[in-house]
Amino acid sequence: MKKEEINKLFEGLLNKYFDLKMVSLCTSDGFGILHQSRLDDEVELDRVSAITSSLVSLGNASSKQIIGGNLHSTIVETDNGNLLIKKLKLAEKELVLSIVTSKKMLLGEANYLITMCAKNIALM
Amino acid sequence: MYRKLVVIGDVGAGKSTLIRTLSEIETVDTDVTSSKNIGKPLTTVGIDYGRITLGEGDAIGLYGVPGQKRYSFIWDMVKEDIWACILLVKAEHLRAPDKLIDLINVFINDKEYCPLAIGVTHTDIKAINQVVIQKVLQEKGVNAPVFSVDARKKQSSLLLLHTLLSMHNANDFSKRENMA
Repeated sequence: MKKEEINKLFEGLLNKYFDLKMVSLCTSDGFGILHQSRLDDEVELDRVSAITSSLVSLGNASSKQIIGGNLHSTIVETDNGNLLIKKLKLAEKELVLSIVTSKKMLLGEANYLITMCAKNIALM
Repeated sequence: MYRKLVVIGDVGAGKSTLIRTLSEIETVDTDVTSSKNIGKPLTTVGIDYGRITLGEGDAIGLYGVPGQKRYSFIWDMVKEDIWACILLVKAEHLRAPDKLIDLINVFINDKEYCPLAIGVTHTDIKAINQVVIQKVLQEKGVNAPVFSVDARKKQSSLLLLHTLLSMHNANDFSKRENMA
């Protein structure tokens, strides 16, 4: 049931934001749950899940050992667009949400988008 | 000199534990709660990093990487310029040696000299004959010393490190002999 709701949420976001290219949800240990994408080069959910869960865990280690705060998000900026990753909890399970946006979407807007999306999922 | 020692192996073999046991610094670990039953509550999804100082300007960096193939992008980041490799095998997982051979090949196949030592862990839970393991791996073309190791104990873990140092020393000696 929740999976369907999340899928609808992802669909709605992709329809609303043209510059949103991918939305993906996986467990914190890198197992894929849901994935929607309109990237030119399609990436497999397994690969996205492994990479994003690793980046979050490395971001977490950085925040703990270098900055000393709680991790809010991990951001990868590239020539072609941005990847934003966020941890969230749903039914006591730690999950990882990630989005890819085109370069046209401002980083602040992308950050707002993933934050809202994570909040909506956490409330389900 | 900075030497890069990579610890590879199956899920739950004790890679993170070995690095924590050997490292003199607080390790950088990327353990998260496991969503599946893998026989332990936490699993590594990024990289484990620790360090051992051998002397002035001489250190070994310990790199632990996840064993699952979907994390192969981390293997690609770590596999360059490896000084030595430790393969940890959980005693009960030995029935699938092909996966381990593939993993070994990723890290040491194209290196001029990269010694490998194999530690069999969890032998307190399941007794295993190391000669059998050695034979299985030899049949697959891997010739490496095999030890029963308790990754929680420093002396036991150091056995693998000392073996790799000895293998490097022997190789250096042999090179010098050949040149003389």
